Amino acid sequence: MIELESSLMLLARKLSKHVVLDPDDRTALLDLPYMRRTLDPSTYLLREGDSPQYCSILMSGFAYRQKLTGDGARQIVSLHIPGEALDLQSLYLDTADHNIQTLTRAEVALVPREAMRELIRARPSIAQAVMIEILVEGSIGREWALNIGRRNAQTRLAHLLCEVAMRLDAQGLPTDGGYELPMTQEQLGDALGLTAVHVNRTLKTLEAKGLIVRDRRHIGIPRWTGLRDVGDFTGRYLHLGRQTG
Amino acid sequence: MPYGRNDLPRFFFHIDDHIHEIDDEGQEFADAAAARVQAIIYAGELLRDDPGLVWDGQRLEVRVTDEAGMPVIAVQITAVDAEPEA
Repeated sequence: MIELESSLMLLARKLSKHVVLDPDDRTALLDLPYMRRTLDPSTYLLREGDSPQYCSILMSGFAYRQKLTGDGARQIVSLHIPGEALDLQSLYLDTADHNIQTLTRAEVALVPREAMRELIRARPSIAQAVMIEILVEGSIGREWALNIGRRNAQTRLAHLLCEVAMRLDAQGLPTDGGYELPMTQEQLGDALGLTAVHVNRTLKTLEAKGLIVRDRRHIGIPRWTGLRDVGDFTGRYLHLGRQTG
Repeated sequence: MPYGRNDLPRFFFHIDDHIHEIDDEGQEFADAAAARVQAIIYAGELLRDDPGLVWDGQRLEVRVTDEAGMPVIAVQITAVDAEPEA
């Protein structure tokens, strides 16, 4: 069961980036009950209208949240990387307002909603860290609204590539000058509000400028500052690092 | 529609404005009708990114061909300025 321990450790690591967690906080967090599930790509973890029973924590793989228009057009509204809790808002909201799906094969830890709420009631530092995590999700959502609403395709795509790189890096996941982005061009289009055709052309443009190197789904970033400038990207909205509060 | 459909026909989206850009990679769509719709939206996206594409009598053309190289649709956009007042 060492793998399981190390998996909730990812969440502990993430939360302790926001606030100082003392040893008792960490122990309480790691003692949470959970069920472990391995899921195929595109599996639904939560559907709009559902009453969430679990707080799911992504242990490996990628996931995303999406919403559909009345006539079925899909908008991917957020991406999630290992160590992130997928639906903290569902701890306190009774009905899901969006869908959560795995992007890749993924392992998740399902923590009963009530157990997570109890932990938050009992441990103020964890409560503060969870609150910060929810606020950061909101901040990322605002940045995505700006990105999709007001930036051109090249900036939009470069911005997303920078965000994923910085989040993976902050989470201590290897980036090594690049990373595996397990998204089809259609999915990138759904995240960026662009046709897959335009995503395809924009990827080629970024590559032609020497800002990214593509090898299947691997995105190499040879010149971070170049991609960052084209992407109009600063990491301020990610609020990495400890919040003194 | 779910992601990850297979064995769909491939369409190529070329751009003709002041430069010519040949798409040699193409993308899969359910059918020609779906590719036509995408071509029109794509042309709109290109214009949104750069309205100057149709200034000064320039024309933007998105031309779609199928796997056999046969034309599927050409979306042509021009802007006509008002006559300057005498």
